[in-house]
Amino acid sequence: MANVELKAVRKTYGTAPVIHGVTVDIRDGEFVTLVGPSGCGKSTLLRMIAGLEDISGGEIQIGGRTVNSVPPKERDIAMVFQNYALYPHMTVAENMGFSLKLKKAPREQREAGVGRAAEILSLTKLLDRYPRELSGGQRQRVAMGRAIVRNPQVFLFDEPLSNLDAKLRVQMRTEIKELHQRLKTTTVYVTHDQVEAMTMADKIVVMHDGIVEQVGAPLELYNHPANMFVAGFIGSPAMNFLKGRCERGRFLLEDGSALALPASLEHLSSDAVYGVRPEHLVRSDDGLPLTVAVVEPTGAETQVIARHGSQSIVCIFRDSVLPQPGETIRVRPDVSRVHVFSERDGRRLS
Amino acid sequence: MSAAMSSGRPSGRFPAILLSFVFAVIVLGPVAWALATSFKTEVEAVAVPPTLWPSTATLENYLKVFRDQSFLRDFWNSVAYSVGAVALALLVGIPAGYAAARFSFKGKRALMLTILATSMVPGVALLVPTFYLLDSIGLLNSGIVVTIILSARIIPQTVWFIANFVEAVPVEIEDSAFMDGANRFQIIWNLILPLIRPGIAAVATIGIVTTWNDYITVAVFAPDVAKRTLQVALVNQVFDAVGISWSYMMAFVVIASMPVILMFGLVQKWFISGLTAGAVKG
Amino acid sequence: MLASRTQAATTSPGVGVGDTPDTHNGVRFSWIPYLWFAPAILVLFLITLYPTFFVGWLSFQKTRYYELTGFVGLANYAEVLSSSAFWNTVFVSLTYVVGSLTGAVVLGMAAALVLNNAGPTGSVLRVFILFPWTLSMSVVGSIWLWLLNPSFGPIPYLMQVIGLEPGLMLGDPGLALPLIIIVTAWWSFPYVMVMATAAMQSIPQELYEAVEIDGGGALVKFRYVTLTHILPTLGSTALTLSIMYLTLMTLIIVMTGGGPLGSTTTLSFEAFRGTVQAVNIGPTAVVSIVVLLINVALGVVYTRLTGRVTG
Ligand SMILES: Nc1ncnc2c1ncn2[C@@H]1O[C@H](COP(=O)(O)OP(=O)(O)O)[C@@H](O)[C@H]1O
Ligand SMILES: [Mg+2]
Repeated sequence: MANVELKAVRKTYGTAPVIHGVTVDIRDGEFVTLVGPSGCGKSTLLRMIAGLEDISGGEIQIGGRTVNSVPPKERDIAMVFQNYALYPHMTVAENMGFSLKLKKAPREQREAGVGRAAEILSLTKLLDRYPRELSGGQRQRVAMGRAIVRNPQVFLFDEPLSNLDAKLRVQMRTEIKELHQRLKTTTVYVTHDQVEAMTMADKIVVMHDGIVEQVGAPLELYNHPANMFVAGFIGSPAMNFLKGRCERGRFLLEDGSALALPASLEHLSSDAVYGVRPEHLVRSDDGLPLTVAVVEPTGAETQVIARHGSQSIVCIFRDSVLPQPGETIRVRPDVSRVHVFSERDGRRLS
Repeated sequence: MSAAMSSGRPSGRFPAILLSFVFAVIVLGPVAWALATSFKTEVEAVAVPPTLWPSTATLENYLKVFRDQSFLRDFWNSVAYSVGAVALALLVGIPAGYAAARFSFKGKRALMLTILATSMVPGVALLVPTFYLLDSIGLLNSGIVVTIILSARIIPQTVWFIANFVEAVPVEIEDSAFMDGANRFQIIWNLILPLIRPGIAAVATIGIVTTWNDYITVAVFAPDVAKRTLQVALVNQVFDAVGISWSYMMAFVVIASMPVILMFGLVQKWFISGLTAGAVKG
Repeated sequence: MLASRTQAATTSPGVGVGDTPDTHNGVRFSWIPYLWFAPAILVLFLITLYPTFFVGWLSFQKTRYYELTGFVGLANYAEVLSSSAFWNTVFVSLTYVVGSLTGAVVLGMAAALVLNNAGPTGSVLRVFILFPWTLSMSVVGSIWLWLLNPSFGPIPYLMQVIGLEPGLMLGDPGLALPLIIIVTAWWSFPYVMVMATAAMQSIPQELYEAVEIDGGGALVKFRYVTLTHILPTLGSTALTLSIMYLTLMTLIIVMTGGGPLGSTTTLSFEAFRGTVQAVNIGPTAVVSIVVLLINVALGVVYTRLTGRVTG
């Protein structure tokens, strides 16, 4: 078991900077997800922790030891790849035992290690199969098994579920989570799917364009996003953003309609962006008038896409009375759950 | 593989099947005739009107080929040159192809373009200079030199093919093995080579066929009788037109083609995949 | 099964560009990659590149047999390019390449279409039809030499039976080149067939179904789906064959020896003859360079067409 510390880590490919100084502290036994849109540098960061990419600047420590120039096999880590990277010409058992074989571990030790991992992942019956004879979920488990066999200090996952169908993804999500609760190994888990990040993590690191936007527990990010990027990225459907101006304790939209502001911003007077999540809009006779465009009931709740002038606003209602397209509805934000961001740099003001 | 444009009902296929056989006859007729003639007597081979099937089938022609003192030597030369050339091409082509697929470094593009450029230089344009150079350093009639020349003809395609095959192996597999503690040599030996084996087989098959079938290289650079191959021996017999026995010639033709025929029969899948690799853009 | 799991690694189209860096040793500059190429480059340099430069140098030398007797500037070029024999050779080469190509492409396309429509029978026959492609030029030449033999060959015999006068066949200056073209087309059309078939089988079946729904017949399917899709493949195949025909010597050596009366002397045959007869290798070097230049030009077009090297 070990903690992982990233200190001002940077990465450039040739002259192109990709990671601009990332500092994150991952505690021993923690499950941390790195989340962000595709291309923001998550894989690069993970591969630097793994030792598959060299570090252009800063420092990475695993278990208190600086590993910048330590080769991967000596970092005591294991990694699970998106495409599983199973060795196609080896059986499940051979795949899982390959690292021990390279270490020249005696046969009994190899079999014991593989057997134990196979048991944990219910792979015992599949040990003699080849990867091509396995389903997607089984391959995924073999990839994890290969990691477990090494009994590493840190698990690294790079989008391990994105090749699976939706149902299997949910199931494997639970399995990985359970595995972590059982083994308590420090885990860094990369995903572009914020739902995955929210449901699995003890701590989420939100990345964007090579920088860390915010680090925090899932609900912390949901309730107190540090900026518009995090606010828009975390939560589904995404937060509504309305442009306008804070003035005398109220928020004025461009067409002059007014929305309530939290008490803490009573004295603010400047251009700003008003953020409210679809689930925090409630119907109210004195609310903002919206024209309903599309109604999407899912059973438990109904998603309504409506317009206010040229602005599109998404609402989620739990009541069973459905509005009709073309109808005008009035909604009011729950003022205790409203977020206000600076117009200039997107930082949170409230 | 769904046959494009195929009319689903077997009955609608009848004209196409008939025409297919016409093509087969056009292509295989001459070959079959040659095969039949190799079993005819010398007299029957030149009979007018020609006979289709040998009236008295004889193995005499084949025995005559095998009994010839020089046959074994020519055969051995053919084997040695083509196996040697393919082995050398793989030996130098696998590292280069792997590096092309997996490393990025300054000048790689230039290197790859150089290799491509060499593949555009036709052997015929190099006959005169190579002959001159070999002659001036006394290396004409060297089996090793001929092998290397034959190898050089197939090295560019070997490098390109290997590079493409390696690229098709997900790099994560190597990353994974690397983290498992494997070094580069172990990765290539334990992972890459087993995984690209079909590709290597395809390149090797094509290489063997190409070099086995060569006439020019051996004829020009190793004119010595002791260094000639079956192909050269065959052509020499054609030149030696006086007293030529056609049934003997056809037996020789069959034997000279036998290794290639066997290879084609055994691995025609690899042969075809080698031919069409990279030809169709998906 | 590899193919289905390779998305991650095959994003770069060519070999030369956009590859994964070698990050494993974590070193900025390393001479090690060059070492991996060294053996291949060494062989290619000695066997291909150096003689290529050397033939250029030879072409500026005054020669007698294999003796060099001094620098003569462009004299060899002037001699070759002003000789009518050379231009005749160029013409023979051109006729040979164009004629063989036409035959091979027409026959190959026809065979591809026919066999593709012949169901499992077609798949089996396809393999057999490809077979002559694996035979050597010396073998093909020997077989046809005998098939066409004017005294007792089966083909002249059949011609006589149907009332044609076979004459001298390969011994006839007017007939030799056409006959060699026919043999070449016979030998190489299966290659066109295999390439065209591979291209056809990569066409999504849905396209044909879409044409059917739109009310198009077999002709529309062929013209707008099949042909459009296989044209690039057909183009690169034609170029491959042109290069092959241009540099092909053995078939001519075996069947006609360049004759009769030079009617089958192509550029490549001339380069071969000049090398083995060695009367004067300077002009032979010039002919070699002409073949080299045409070949490189075709090769460049081929590379552009297939995008082997991009960027
Ligand atoms: N080998 C490389 N060479 C150059 N740029 C790269 C390389 N690998 C990744 N990048 C760039 O680095 C950025 C981050 O990539 P990556 O870490 O894979 O993103 P993510 O995993 O978040 O989708 C991308 O813009 C990508 O184009
Ligand atoms: Mg990624």
